[in-house]
Amino acid sequence: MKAQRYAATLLAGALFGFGLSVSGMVRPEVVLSFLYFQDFGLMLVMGGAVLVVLITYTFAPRLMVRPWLDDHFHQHPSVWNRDTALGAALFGVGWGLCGVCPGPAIAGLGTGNWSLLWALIGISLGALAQGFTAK
Amino acid sequence: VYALGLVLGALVWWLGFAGGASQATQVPAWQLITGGFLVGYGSRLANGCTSGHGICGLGSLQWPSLLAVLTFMATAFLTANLAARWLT
Repeated sequence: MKAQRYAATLLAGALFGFGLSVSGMVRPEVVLSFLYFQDFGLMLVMGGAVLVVLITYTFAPRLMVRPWLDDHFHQHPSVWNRDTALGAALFGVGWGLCGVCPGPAIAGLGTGNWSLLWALIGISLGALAQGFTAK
Repeated sequence: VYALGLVLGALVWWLGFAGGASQATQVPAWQLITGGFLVGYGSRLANGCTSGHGICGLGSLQWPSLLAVLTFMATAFLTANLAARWLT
């Protein structure tokens, strides 16, 4: 059971990394050109992903008695408060500045783009700093 | 383990489909590291990023996630366009 879960996690990660690379989202230039309103590829990639998740989240719990690797389905509710608003705004500023978000920063290393290590260092420091400032 | 998968999946694409050509970026390092810092801080504070709020949140119809996506899209548009005007 435990090994199966690790395998599923690894496979899901690999699939996500593969998709991000195929769609070009691992390249900051592609993301930035979306933010300059020049290339709407990101919209299609994200829209497509949302659609697949929507279908899965809607139908899987109805069609299956229990998931493959757990004994029941979980919910992961998101909340709206000042932290979410402020965090999302800060995230946007950073994203607009460098064109990198956490997924592609990690996946991009697999495409031999070592300069993404800078972004990854920044992300780690930022997340660490948030951990220190939170209470 | 998930992060390892991400790197592996991208590696498969890079070597198998893109001919292993280097994918270096033109974005300067200081922009990557400061932008990255804000991305890391912001996504942890907001409990999610483009994938978390954008894909999983919207896909499971969570309205707070929609607000978060609209917020970071708006600030990202602003920053990217201002940065393009002032920095290059």
